[in-house]
Amino acid sequence: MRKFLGNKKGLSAMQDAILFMVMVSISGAILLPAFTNDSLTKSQMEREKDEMADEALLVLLATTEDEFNYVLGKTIIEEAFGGLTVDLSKSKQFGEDILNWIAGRTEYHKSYGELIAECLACQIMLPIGDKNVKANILTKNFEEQLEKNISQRLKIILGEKYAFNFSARWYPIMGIPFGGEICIGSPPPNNAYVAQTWITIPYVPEIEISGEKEILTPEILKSEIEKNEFYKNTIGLLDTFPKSDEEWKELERNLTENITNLMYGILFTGLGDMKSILEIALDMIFESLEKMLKKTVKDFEQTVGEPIMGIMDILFKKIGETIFQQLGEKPPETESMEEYVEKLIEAIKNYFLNGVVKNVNQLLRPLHDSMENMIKEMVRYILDLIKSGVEKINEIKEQIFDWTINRIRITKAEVRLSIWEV
Amino acid sequence: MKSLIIDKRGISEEFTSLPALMVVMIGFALFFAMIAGVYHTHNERVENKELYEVAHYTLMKLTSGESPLVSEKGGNTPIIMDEQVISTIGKDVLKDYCNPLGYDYTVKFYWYDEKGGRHEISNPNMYKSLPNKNRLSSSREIAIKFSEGDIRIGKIVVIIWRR
Repeated sequence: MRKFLGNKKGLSAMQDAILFMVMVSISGAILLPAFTNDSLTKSQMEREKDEMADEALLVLLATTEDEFNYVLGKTIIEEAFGGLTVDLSKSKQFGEDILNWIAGRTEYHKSYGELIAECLACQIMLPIGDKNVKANILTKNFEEQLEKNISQRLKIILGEKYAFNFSARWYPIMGIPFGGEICIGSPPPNNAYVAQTWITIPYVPEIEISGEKEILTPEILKSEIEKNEFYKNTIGLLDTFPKSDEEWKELERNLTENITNLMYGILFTGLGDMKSILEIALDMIFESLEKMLKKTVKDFEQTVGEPIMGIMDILFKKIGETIFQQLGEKPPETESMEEYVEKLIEAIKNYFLNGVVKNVNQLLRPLHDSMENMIKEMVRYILDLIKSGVEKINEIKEQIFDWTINRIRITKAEVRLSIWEV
Repeated sequence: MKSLIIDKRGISEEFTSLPALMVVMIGFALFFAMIAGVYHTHNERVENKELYEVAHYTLMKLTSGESPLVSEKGGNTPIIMDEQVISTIGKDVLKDYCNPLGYDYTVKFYWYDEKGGRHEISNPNMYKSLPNKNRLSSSREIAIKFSEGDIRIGKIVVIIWRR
């Protein structure tokens, strides 16, 4: 061993070799990231995926469907078929043909943006208990068909590489789950690429002021809110600066109560002369439903002869009876189909107005509570600003007004698409 | 001087540094080979990136609101291209609108049927043959209007190459 260590021959060669091997290895280690690091390509891919989500959403909304078919009140009609002496629903093809003949609707050349907006506008989704209930049972099949078609279209646009979650929401008052909602696909992961846009609800909201019909614009809404007692109370409460802790608490309670009542009025019970959003939506929905049913009856009268029309009358009335039964009313005794349709629509409308709107306080207690909590948060925030001297009490009035107005979006629905790689 | 030339005696040296020199040379060879490889890959990437950036820029410009291909564009509405326009537009019209310096390009359009089948919309005014290599493409989804109320899912593909 000593002999080996003492031998100096060849040492210079070994030193050089080791030195250069080390240098080459270090160079390799330094240059290695240039071989493997692909940050440029990665950032391009990230950008493309982001753009992909935007493109897919906008293309979907713009494209049209030549013929979009659905059955109006499918479940109700199927129930009515079940009540007949010969159960038509048991003969699948024949039953389906009859079903489509009676209540089948076809929308021609409508864009998906329009179809989605119509679907959201007619759902009348209400938060009852822990669930959101879609009260308009007549258009359930419309929603199902639309979801199926959207899913197919997105699969074509995105291909098999991406999974997606599509959602569309129309909440006339932000944060309050009343209005309409569609959701397709599994919940998106955290790293999903999200695109979002707005679509316009097809109805023009009209209100009656002093017997004259007017389109509900933000300006009219503003002036109606300004006239309202709850609003005046709210603003009046801010005229005096509280002196004690108890007065601050009292102010918080009163502000919360008045703003909640104001929002509640806008949404469900109406503000003075102005109808509530719910009533405006119901009017619009039933107006179009009445037109649609009357047109269907007229089309039948023109296309089929008297004997077949007699059979159709029986079927129509059978369906009507089922609906009247569900509404807890007696079917009208009239020969005219047009009159029958009118009475039917009126009964459904009254059911909603009397049953839901008038008992809104009992039915929608959870909604009232969630709205109150949301408003309480806002009031606390504003009062903290006043207490800390950041805002003056008089300037806060404008903020409360803006907060209220900015939360009302009657004609806009949010559409969102999340995509991720599978 | 003469005696120095005539003198045949010499000193035999030990070439102990030769193996070391060999290792050094191998080391240098490996090092330069690596540098050359990295440089080549980097160069290729930069060129591709540049080509891709030009393709993407051309694609975005051709699908912007002012493009001669676009027939409808609103606030929230997407770009909609008219089938009549895209099947007849000349390459000169496109080049007048977007002509990246040192590059040439062509555009292809496709539409998808309800089952997802892809169909090309041919345009006789576009290039018939393309260079075999060093070309790159970029694409995006668009909406193509075939007639009023008939808007289908489509795709625009820009293929670009160096002149």
